[in-house]
Amino acid sequence: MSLITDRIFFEALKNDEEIAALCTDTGEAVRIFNPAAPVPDEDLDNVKLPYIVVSFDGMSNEDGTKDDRFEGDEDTVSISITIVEKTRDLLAVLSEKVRKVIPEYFEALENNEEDEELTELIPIQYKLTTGPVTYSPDKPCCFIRMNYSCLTNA
Amino acid sequence: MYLKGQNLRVFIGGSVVAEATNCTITITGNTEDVLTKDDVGLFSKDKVTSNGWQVTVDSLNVNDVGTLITTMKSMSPVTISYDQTSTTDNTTAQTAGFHRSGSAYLTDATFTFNDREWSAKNLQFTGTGELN
Repeated sequence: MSLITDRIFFEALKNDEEIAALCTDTGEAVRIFNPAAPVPDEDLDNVKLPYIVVSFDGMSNEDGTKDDRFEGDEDTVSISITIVEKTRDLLAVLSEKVRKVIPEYFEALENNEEDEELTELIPIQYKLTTGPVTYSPDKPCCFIRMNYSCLTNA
Repeated sequence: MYLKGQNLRVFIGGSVVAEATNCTITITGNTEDVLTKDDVGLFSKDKVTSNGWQVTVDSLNVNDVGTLITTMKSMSPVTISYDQTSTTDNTTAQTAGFHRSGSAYLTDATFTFNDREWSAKNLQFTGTGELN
């Protein structure tokens, strides 16, 4: 199931009222996208701010034991969350919310045991790193990429 | 023909060590220096007087910690064997060319439980008597 791990990150952000409210305008769809913003690259500057993109960046199978014939039981999955906002200060606020919401959602899902299919996507553990805060004068906007290196069941 | 390490397994009392990652088999010739005044020169003159053997195995399965501690405390030997397994069934001994077995004491058992890593065990068996 690890090939759709990005889905649980996407659900975590979509289901948070604060983040969803920040990423929408009245009468419009929430601007949290997976696996990419639904516009050609040359039109990205026209996407309203803020918006968030959750993407699946790759997977590698972990070495197993002698009991495994071909593949180990765990995968390392890379998920990235790119957050784009108008200013540096607003970016800081939204990215902190995103950081907080992810583990809270996973824990709530584990304790709830309602959606078994989604619960199976919860990583065994993950390591979070981020890239630099970047400013683009063309739009203008600031953005940051949060990288989750997740250990998941294969 | 090359043998993949995956297909060489250690068995304790006939049961394969589950979820093993590595295993090592060491056979040692124990020597004594039999140099006498009849010998000239500066070199030692070693003679093998006995053989010994050891088998070590690493595994990610720590469910048998209690059983292994009991085995060690009992200070009784167990039957250890190692063998080649087939590529399709990697848990059944083939009793092939690599097959050997003997009695051995569990002389070292190390269990590691590191944060954010899989728990693991390392077992060292020291042979008593012949490796057949």
